[in-house]
Amino acid sequence: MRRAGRFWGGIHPAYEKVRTREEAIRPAETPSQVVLPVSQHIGAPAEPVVKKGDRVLAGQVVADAKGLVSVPVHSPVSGKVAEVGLRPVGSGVAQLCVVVENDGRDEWVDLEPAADPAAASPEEIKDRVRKAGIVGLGGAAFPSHVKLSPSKPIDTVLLNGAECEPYLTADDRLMREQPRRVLEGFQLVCRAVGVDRGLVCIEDNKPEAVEAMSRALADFEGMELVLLETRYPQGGEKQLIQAVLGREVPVGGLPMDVGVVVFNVGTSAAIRDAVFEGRPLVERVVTVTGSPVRRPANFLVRLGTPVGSLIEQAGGIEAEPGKVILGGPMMGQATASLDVPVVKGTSGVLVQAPEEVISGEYLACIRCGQCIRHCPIRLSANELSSRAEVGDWETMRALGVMECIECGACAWVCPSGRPLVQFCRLGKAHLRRIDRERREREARRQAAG
Amino acid sequence: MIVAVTVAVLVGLGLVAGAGLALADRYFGVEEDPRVDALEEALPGANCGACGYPGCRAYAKALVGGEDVDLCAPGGNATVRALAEILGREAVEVVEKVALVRCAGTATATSFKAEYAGIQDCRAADIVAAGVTACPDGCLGLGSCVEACDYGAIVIRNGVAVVLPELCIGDGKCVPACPRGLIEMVPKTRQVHVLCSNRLPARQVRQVCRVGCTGCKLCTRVDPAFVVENNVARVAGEPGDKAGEAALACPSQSILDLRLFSAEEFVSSDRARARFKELQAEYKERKKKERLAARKAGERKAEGGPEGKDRAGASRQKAEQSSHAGSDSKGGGS
Repeated sequence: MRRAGRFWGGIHPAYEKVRTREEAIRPAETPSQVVLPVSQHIGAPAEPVVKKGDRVLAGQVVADAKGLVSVPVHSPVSGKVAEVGLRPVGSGVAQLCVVVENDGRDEWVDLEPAADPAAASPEEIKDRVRKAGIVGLGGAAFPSHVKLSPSKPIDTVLLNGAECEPYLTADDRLMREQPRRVLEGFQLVCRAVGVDRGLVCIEDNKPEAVEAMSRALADFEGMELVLLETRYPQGGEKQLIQAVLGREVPVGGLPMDVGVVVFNVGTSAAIRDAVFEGRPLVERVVTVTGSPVRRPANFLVRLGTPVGSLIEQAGGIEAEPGKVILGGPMMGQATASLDVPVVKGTSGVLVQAPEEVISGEYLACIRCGQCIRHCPIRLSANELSSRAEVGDWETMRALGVMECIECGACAWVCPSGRPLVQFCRLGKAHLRRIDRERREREARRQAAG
Repeated sequence: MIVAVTVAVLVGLGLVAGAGLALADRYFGVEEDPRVDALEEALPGANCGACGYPGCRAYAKALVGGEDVDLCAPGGNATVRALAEILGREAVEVVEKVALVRCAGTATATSFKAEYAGIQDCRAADIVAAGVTACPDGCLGLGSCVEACDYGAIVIRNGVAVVLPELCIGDGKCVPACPRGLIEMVPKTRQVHVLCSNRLPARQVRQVCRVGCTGCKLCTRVDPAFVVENNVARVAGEPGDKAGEAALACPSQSILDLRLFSAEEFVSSDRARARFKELQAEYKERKKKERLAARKAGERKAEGGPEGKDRAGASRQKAEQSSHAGSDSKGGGS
């Protein structure tokens, strides 16, 4: 077994995975109503193809992909479409959603498995992945079929089983319980991009997953297990590539620029189901955890299930929570409502007690440089934050803020408690706005003559 | 002696340098249109950049080069006329504009969603769980627009930004500052505005805000200048005489009539709201009486009139009754 090298920077937060690491994945109750946002992925939102009152079957497309970087959305239950309209989603904004009333019969569309999955052609795999609505389940939710069609030569595919985000154990459990399913999917990925070198990368704080995967690996050819050092953000695409292969993804570039494609273990399992069983992506594993949660668990959840019902199924919460986060504590997003649905990118639901929530107060920068030392991208978060405070967005761009992966290591180490990563996000949002405005201005100018 | 030499050298240097400068001006001097100074003088000197040029002088130079005279927002019509006169061009009529925040969801009017303890900036709050109040399209109240305004023309009142029209110069700098696009430049003369941008369906609007537009389209029936798009009303055309009535008819109090209240009063003063409610009740009473009178007149006509007219009268009455019932139930609900 090979040990990977290191990436720059990084931190060692309290992992807190002990709460759920021994909890086997169990199916959550199917809710009476599912809310399916048409935009659960990066790229163009899908377009609803059903209307109020239509009867839909589980696995049926309710919103179809629009454009190349887009995927369809399928109904995870059978029932009647109750509404196609705006609903608040995890990000807090109202988004177009298809709401399906579950009739409890769980009637499925006829699934069409590939005739011979072991011999499926790359084109067939890509086509099935796109039609199954599969996106990166690690959290970024980038359409997988786009990743499977790289425009540059690829020599290595990495299976990302790092799960470096504290608290989350969804990937860990998946690797321990269904290693064959994950690896069969990974084999398909390798075939789709035409590569015979697949590296299975797992952090060394998951010995059981390493054990299970290495046993299953005996039946697969051309794959090797790589042990990663436990360090956050080891699972970041660029960090993983640097640690395992020693290659640096160039500024503004993608992993394919250095001949690599990275897939998450959950995504890999979903790809396997799409090809072997013809199943669309309608469920995912979600870790429900946090100190106030009575019985933390790993659930197999139908997409569109309200977050609140998952917390209830995990025994509810002991006291008034301080914060509810979709995803993990580092990269996740706080939500203000428990009615928001689980979407393709929701890897966890974390409930924090009031005393665990960091207050908004922060002090001045003391120039200690900790943030620079721990930034995996080697940005100067101190400088970026002081620029953000005065609204100097263009200088932030010059300092490379657009390369920020928003891992939050800077904010985690800051002794002054400065919201450094939030400042970077703010800068990125402003720069995107500035770019958009510039494009609009130019378009207007061109239209005017 | 030494003093004389020093003086002579310095005077000599001065003369040489002076001659050099004179020659440089003569041969390398840049001709500048004398009108540029006059134009700059005529401009308000706000250097706001609303015209798209970095400062008034840059715009003045561009004007000499043929740029349109109607780009100065703070100057308004007076400036346009002055510029046109200097350039000897035809003055064009511009619509003078002021900013308007299309939200009245104060902390008391909207339901509370979550505490926000992050960076005190609207865009930062919008990135995370989208603000403190439950309305996904409402004002965040952290004052990014207040900071963008150089003239102190925007204030936060009970969690909502309000533009003070008497201080607003119309440079539009606040418009891009709002991450939710709530600020619109509206004609200064327009008296009636819809103070809501919530796109949610009616039932959900009621859950999040007391003064949110439900998209009931009552206003569009009173004055066609109102349109309802994406579940929210807005003023599209030029409001007519009946626009004030639309404000009074609005069951959710989402429409502001500047002839009755200033935006600041309407948004934040409970007294103004209470007074507005009285006015609405009076209006409703008046409408009811009018309808009754119309019905009576219709009945009288029907008694003696020909058959065809009778049918038409009856059906109109029916329509009126049903619409009356509809508005009544809405009024009761609010």
